Amino acid sequence: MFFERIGRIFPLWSALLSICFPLLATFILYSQHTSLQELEEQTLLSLSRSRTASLQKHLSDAFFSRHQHSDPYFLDHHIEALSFLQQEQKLLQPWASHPATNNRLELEHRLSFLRSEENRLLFHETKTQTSPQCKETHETQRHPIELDETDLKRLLSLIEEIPPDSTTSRPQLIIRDFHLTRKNQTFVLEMNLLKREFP
Amino acid sequence: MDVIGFFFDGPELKAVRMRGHEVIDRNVKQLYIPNTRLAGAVPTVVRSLELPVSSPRKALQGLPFQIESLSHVPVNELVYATQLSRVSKHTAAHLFFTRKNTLQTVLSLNPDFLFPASAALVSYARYRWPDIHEAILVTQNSCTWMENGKVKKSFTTENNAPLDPVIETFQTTGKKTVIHLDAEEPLALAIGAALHSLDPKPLQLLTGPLTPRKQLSSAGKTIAATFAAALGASAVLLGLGGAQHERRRAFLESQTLEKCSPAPTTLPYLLQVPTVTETLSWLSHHPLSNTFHLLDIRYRLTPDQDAIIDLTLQIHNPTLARQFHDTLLQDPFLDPTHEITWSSSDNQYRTSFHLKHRPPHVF
Repeated sequence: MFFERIGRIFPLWSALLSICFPLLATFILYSQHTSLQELEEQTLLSLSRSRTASLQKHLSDAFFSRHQHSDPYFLDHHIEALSFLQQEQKLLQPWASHPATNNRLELEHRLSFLRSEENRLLFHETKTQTSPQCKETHETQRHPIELDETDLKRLLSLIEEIPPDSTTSRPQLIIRDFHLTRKNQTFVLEMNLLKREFP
Repeated sequence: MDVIGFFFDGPELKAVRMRGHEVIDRNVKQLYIPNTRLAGAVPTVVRSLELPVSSPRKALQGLPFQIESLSHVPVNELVYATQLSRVSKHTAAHLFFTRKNTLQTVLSLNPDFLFPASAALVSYARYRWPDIHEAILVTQNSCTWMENGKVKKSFTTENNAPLDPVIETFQTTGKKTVIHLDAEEPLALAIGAALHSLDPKPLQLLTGPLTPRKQLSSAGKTIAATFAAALGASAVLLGLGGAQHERRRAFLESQTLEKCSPAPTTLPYLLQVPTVTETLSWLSHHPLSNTFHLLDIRYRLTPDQDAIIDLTLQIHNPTLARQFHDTLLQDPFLDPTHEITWSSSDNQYRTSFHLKHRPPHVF
């Protein structure tokens, strides 16, 4: 009797209701899935941020361990002490001291320039900013210098630390301005540095 | 499942039991046998009409209004079955109808099917003579015109009136085989009713309020089962899906809590553009480095960490100079978002560009 009544009354409704339940369940699951996807995106984003933060922390730690308590006279001892065009000096020396050389005076003059402070890197501090974490100094080259390709490589490897040298405690040096002009077989160089020291 | 086909020959009930297309009992006395279906044949009036619609569904919707004009009996007192066939852009409808109150005796038997007698006769004829598609089937008190295996027209008499004029009328459109079924098979109607129940679309008179109780009960059970299955499946789906979501959510939340570490508050001033060494190395390894002579290079680092390069080169061949310029435009070392300037004077070429940023690194 019960089933007869159902069969008589609900043939269409039952079909609709039967469809409605799975549809409702699907809708609920879909909305759950959507919110889960949002959470997943947020998680991925926060994980990505976390990775970035971790990388930054790693960089920061590596950087400070490299540059903390650096040698305050690094520039004086390692950069300003460099003598350039030594090959040329060696080549000129015997000719300049030979009594039969025609342009001996010119050679002596050239040799004197190469050996003098005029062809040495000298910087003066144009601007200094100090904070508890860092002392930042703008180092400006006093005058241009002449150097060859070998000198240039040596100089840049010292300033930009290529290859890395972990034995020397050194300040962070960044080239702010670098101007290289070809002059016959040599180059004329002018540059400004940014020196950062971390106590 | 066996089918018991029956009809009333006057007051006398005649029934046969069939298993598929085989008669297994020609003298059934007990109609209520478990696992059998009961199919009866009753005389009906047959009317044909043509509806000016091509869609059978629309034709069915319009039929109740047509029936009113076909019978003097109110529609709600009629029981009818419809046989539709599409004829070009029209729908041909054959209506088999009878009055409800004449069916009381038959309905008291609770049959599963009730078919028009003419449809039962056609089913019998198709079973008995499968090669004959058009014939006039004559019984003691009816005459049915079968065309293409369907009822075309039917005529029923009372008091055994002669059927010859009717047969002659049916013959006017062409000579047809006349089959006298009473002589051939007295139980043709009962067998036909049982056979008609096997048709994919039988002409069932028991529809709407007269729907058989067994059929309603069966439909109710199916509905209840479907309903319960849908409900159960939804619950299982929700339960499993919800649990899966919860596990995933818990995992994601734990990931967020475990893996997130705070970023350092102070960051060192790390160079994010190529250094002077890298720039000179790039230039010396340039594919066209053999074609130019470097005269002047300037590297400027702006406070917002932009590296600007000014180059002066000596190139003796203008084509090579153009090639060099083209390579600069596509060079990944350069920042394409900034302008790459290019000017020339004699065989000296000046260019200025920005270097592309790169991730910071600490040795």
